[in-house]
Amino acid sequence: MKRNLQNTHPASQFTGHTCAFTISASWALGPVLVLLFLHQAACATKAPQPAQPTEASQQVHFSDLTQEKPQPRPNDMPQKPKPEDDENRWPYRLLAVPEVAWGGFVYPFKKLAIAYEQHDLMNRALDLFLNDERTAGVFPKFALGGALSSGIGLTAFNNNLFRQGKEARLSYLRGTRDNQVGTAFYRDPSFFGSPWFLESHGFVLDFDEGHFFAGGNRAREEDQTNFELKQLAWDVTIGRALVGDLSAALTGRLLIADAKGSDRLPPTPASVAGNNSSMTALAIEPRLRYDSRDNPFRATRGWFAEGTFTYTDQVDRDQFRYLGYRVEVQRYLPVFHGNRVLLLRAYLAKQDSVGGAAIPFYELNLLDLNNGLRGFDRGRWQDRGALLFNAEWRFPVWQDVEGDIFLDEGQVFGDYKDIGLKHFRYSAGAGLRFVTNRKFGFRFQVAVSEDGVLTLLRGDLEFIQQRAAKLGFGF
Amino acid sequence: MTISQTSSTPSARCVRALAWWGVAVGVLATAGCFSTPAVDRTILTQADDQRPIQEPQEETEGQWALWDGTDKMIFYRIGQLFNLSRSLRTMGTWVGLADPVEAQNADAFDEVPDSTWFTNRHGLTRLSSDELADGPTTEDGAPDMTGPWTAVSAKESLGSTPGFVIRDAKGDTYLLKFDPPLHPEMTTASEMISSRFLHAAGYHVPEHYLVDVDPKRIMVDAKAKFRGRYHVPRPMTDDDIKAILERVPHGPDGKIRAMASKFLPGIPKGPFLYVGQRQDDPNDRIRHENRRELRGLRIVAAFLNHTDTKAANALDMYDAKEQYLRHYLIDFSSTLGADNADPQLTRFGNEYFLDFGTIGQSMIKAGFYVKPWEVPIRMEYPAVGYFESDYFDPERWRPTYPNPAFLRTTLRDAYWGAKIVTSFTDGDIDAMVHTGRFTDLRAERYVAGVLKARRDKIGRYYFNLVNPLERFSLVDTAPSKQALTFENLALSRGYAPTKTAVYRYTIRRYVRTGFDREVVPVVHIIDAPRILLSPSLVQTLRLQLDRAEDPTKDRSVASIQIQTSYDGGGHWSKGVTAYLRFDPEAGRFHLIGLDRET
Repeated sequence: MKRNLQNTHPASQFTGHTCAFTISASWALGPVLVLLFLHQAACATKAPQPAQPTEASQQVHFSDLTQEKPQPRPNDMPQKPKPEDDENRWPYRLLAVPEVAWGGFVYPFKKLAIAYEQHDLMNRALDLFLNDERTAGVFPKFALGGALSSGIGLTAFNNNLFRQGKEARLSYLRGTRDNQVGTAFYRDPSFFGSPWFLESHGFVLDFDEGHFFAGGNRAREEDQTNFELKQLAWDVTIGRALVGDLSAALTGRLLIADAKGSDRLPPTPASVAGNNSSMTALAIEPRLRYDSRDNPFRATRGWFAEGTFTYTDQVDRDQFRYLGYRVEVQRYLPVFHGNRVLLLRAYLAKQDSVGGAAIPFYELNLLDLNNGLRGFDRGRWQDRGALLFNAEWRFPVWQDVEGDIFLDEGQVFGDYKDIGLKHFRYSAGAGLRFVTNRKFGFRFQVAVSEDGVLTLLRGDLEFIQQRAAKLGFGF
Repeated sequence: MTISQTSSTPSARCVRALAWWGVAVGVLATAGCFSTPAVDRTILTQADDQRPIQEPQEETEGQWALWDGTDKMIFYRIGQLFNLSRSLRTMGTWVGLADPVEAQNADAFDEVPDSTWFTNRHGLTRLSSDELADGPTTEDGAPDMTGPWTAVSAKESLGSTPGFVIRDAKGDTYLLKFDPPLHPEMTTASEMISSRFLHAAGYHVPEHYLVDVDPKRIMVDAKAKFRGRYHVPRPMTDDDIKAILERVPHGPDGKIRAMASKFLPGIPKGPFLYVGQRQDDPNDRIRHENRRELRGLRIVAAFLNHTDTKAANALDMYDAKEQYLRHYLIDFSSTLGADNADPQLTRFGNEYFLDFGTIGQSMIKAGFYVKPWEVPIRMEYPAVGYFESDYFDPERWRPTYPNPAFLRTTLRDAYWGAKIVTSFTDGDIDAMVHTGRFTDLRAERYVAGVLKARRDKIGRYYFNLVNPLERFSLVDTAPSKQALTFENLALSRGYAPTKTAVYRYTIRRYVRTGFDREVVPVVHIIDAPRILLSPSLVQTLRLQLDRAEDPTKDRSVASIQIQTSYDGGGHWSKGVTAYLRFDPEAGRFHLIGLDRET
């Protein structure tokens, strides 16, 4: 008879499960116990040594004690050991092995940091790319994130052209699949010594990853289509301060564009206005601006308000003719300590076609991660009109680093009657801005929306109205 | 009939597993080990660290501030997590099962012997005002002001403070440092004042002299080197000196105020690190982060706002004749209100340059965490820089980046440092601040006032945490009768909440069986710092010694634990235990050690 040693009594089953758990935990605990044993061994009290005999004195003061000389030790007494550090004993050294291994891992960083300082690598690199005054130079540029996702190029700049305070900048980036983007910028703050300023922006794009979502505010995420866009836009702006913080400007623009469905499926349908067609257009854009912010990069107080009106007319055909206007108001409120700032922004833009002509789809107003609704992908919401509200809370984190928490809400619309709170799209997020009072470094933000989570890493400020920045090619 | 059995039954495995659990709990419960009690520590007045050694290599790692800062802010902190003994001990201290590692070179009286690192000075034996003001300087140590000065070296940024090295007519070499143009006197005064305080505290520092430099006196040595762009040395020229001197404030007579730091004697062997040991120095047997004088330096540095306590501001010098290393602190241009050529930032002294704690708080609280020091206090005197006592918190104070020794400062280490800092009276502080030679006496009074306030904050804080009974001594009250007397530093230095105190003490016979102590008499309460060692105690100890199996091993040691109360016995402080060894032949007690409860 084979005795069945498996007892099916519930108490035994419980004991069995408990034992199984205990055994498993013991295996996990074993190494910990070994370590603790080593630690305990290291902590063992040293064998007591006889106190050094001191000369008996009638009045023993502490100050006298410190001046006592050690008495000669009798031969039968054990030698006093030299003071040693407990942490140099072998158990401690054994327990420190992981720290030593970590030191090995860190060793290359250490050598690099020492070489960096020893050979002044920073200045060597800056001298390689920049002039002595650090006002001009040429340096390589890399794209990480943004519309181009990855790219390499060059930037050349001069912030003191002709030593007269004029600025010039040229940038070019080339990405995968022959995508490329370039910008040129020139600014003369005092045109021929007059109170007028002159600016010129050039933008060149050859890009096959444009996103278009048909349906305006009702577009679905899965309705994404892709288009290829070749574009050249050249603006010349002349303007001047009027009174105080109020300024005006007039921009003339040459716009040459050619759009078609991309090889990346699904392509944007040919029926979309402007797709599979080219356009050469001239535009004129008067602008009024009020800017009382204390700092353009790290504003803590003031207003920024801007209104523009744009008329664009195709010159090679009559297919496209449209006008548009845009109003934007930003208010910076220092809530406390002067550096906890609440930013409130309202933005409204609208375009209308003129005389039965159309508006090419790539010129429609956009709300996306580059245009105020930061939780949505490129090109997500596009229509004739866009209404947007932003609230952002900015606060100091470290010396040149700000944290921010933001809420964006808005919608695109074809007609004003389509505007409604229930049509609004929302995104919210938080991030870090690396910025000083003199320049902007970059921003890293994470935003959440109904479409999901997006992370942004951008080298440009938020809410920039330049064409490159609006399309996600911020330089 | 066959009975099959497994080699070990589930119940046997269960028992073994439960036994492991029991062992684990037991080990965890005793994971902490305790510092060596005073009776086991030696009484030392002079450390044995001056034995001749072979000339060591020059330490090169610590001089690189970028690596040192990055390491201490990031890599070293992570590495400490991987040091299992330290991590376990830290966890043990959190749950109250372990004590922190106490300094390994404190003697039986919890003091530091004189050594190549430290010399007991003002904290032990009061120095006169003149001695405090002179510091380490000597009568003929100042630069010769009659002959020419030869510039021998300079670099573009001399520790970020403009300056260069000169040799005077008598052949002595000095490092000259100047003030920034917007803050005349700030840097030079900080160097002068702080060097005096650190010397008085006991640290080894260079001789600092204030001089008025006549630019016409300076000549460039033919072999002088200038470390210019990319830190590449090239021959020094007059234009280099001119470029440096043009940037610094000139007096109406064209002379320039400078601090001249005399080169230390010996062969420079690079900085000492605040962690580890020098492997090629057999005299260096204590890990630097476990040295009392380096841990306690945290308090002295907090007092002086010495935010730049990094390895690069320390220097080992090899005495070629005596053949041992001596350890110095150097470069005090980031003390008091100065941060080299700029005033201290408000956050220095309150947070690290990269302080993950405050950054984390700022992020998590989304700006609603307002650092107490965030709003700068308006500074009236450009010569002072930014130096204040309002925001100063002795426990929160920290240097620009973590210092391994400071990270391990225990309460006993801090108390030791606080004793030194509070030993400076108002008059002492005035005398040493006066060496800064501020033109505006209001600035001088301001600096002295801030130092006094910081001193008082340190005294009040640490004397509240550790029972500050000192200067224990045994006095004869009558033939064959002794009394133990002591001083209450909180009372004598004015940090006690009341003007009087009462003390209670218990006397026990210390038996070497660990936790097992026999209680001899009952608790006594006295209102004066004097404990009579009664004849009955003597008799009791003599009897117990007679009963001991091996009197030579089972020494007769009495421990007297004393607690203090400033409210008539409502609340008692932590204890201080004095150990007395009874000599049966002489019939007398000898004071052999001191322990402080923290």
